[in-house]
Amino acid sequence: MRLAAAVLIAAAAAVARPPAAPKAILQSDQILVSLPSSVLNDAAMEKQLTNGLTTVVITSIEATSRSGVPIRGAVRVEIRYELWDEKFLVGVIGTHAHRQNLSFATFEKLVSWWSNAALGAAAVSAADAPSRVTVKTEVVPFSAAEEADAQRWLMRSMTEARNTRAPPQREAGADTSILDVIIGNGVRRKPIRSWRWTVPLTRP
Amino acid sequence: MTLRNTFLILLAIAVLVMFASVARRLSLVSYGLAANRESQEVLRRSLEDQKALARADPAHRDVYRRRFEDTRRLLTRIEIMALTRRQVMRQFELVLVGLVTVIVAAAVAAYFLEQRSRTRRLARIGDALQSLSMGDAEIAVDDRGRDVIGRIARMIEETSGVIGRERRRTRALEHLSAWQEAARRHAHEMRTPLTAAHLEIRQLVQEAQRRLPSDASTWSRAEASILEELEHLRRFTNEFVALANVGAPKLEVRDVRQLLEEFCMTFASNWPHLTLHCAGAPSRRCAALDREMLRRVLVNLCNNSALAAGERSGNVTFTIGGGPEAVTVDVVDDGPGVAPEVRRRIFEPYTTTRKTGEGMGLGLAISKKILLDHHGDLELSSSTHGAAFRITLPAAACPE
Repeated sequence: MRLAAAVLIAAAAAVARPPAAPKAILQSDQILVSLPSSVLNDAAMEKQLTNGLTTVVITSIEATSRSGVPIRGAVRVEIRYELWDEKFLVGVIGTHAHRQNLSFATFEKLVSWWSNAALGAAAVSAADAPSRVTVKTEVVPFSAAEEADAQRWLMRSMTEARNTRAPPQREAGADTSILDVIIGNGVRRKPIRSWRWTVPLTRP
Repeated sequence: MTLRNTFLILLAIAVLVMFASVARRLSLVSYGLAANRESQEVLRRSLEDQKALARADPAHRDVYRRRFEDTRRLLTRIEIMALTRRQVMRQFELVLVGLVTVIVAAAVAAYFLEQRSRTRRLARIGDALQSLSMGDAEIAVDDRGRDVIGRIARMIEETSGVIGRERRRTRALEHLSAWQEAARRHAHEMRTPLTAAHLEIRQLVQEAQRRLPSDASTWSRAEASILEELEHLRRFTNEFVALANVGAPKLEVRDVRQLLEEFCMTFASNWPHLTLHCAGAPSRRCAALDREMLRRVLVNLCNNSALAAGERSGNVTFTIGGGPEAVTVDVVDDGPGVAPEVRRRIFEPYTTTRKTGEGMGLGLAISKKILLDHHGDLELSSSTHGAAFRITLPAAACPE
């Protein structure tokens, strides 16, 4: 009995174990972040990444420079599986809001790129760079545009359903019941996963 | 917090929880139907079909692509619903918790406000009771609440009102009793000499007529004149006696409406210039009363109205009113009314506005005494024209 409990606890700990720590690299006055492949490479994430929605991985970094100046930055990776072409479309928006578009034919290729990518998250002077940075990664299951579209569709569907019962002179959306508000507010983007690490800033 | 309030709050929360639970269930059923996994699978197969069709029929590729995009959009929306299902449930729970919190907070706030208000009201009740214990009359508590405290406040006001009325009644009775005693003594002191004087005058005139027959007519005139004066004195003495002899009423429960109708009919021609009007009451109103004494009161009031009207024609109206505790009769005439300087002491004996020798002003004092002895009252009412009096009698259940 005790053995079974110990095995269960060990299994649970293994499942709950966070992915390996990312790497933070100082290169050309930029802090680059290289996230571990374990962030993407599990069954649930693969399912999420292939459902047709735009999965957004936001990685933000926080640190304090040697001179005491706070450093903040983020890189945003949008991954959408294009169901018609059956390929992964990736958009990376990093330092200076520069967008880079990529595409991968398979999940394995996406993970391979992910494992080797070093994404520019913040600009910093090499002389003043901190020794450690805090990296926070969040996985958001769909984009803001998809959220707005789903909300509009949901509200329209509920209004149409109500108008089939109500007198025809009522305009769609003229009255909103508390149930509509609750459901409308419920459809909001929230991270489905998040991690936080504090890692050393390495120099090549 | 009272048991009733606690029950109402719990009931409100229970209704709210039930409503929210049903609403949540209904919403999530429809939400669940929309985000059904099977539907998603069907849509996914449809996407595959569109792709296969596009490959098989490249000429219509654009059409299949559009259909594919429509289906894909629907699928992503459903996918978002499935992903946010838990959040929607959480929203329901938050709204429910918020509403229950608001109800409980409102109930607690209401409880504290009620407690504060109750403490103040109890302090006022305490002050009023202290005043009552010190014998104060006509206490006003200023509490119109419908609860127990409000009822106690009204009881205190009613009790102090009764104390005030009884005190005024006792004072008036004591006052009138003193006058009665004085009148009794005056009457007693005057009656014997008057009778003696009457006899002596008769004998003196007879003796004088016997001795001086030539002046018989002169003696007769003198005798008539003296006897007239003595008669005048006798009448005054009788009025004293009338005041002195106001006895205890012999009470019987009678219908006041019937009594008034009888009075109006019987005494219709008693005062030539006066017309009596009995305003009919909708139902019988009974009181324990002495019929003769009450008639005497009514006659006194009508006498006053007739004297005030003089040669002019006048009207006296009797109106029955009152509540469950008392029967009132308003006696109103259309004469000149009561002079302001007389109003304050109108029920005092010997208060009159008539010329000397035309009356002693005992009628209203006697009437007041009669009604006080009935545990009722006779009051002068405020009136813009004419004199208005109110007779009050304790109400009694009418006999079957």
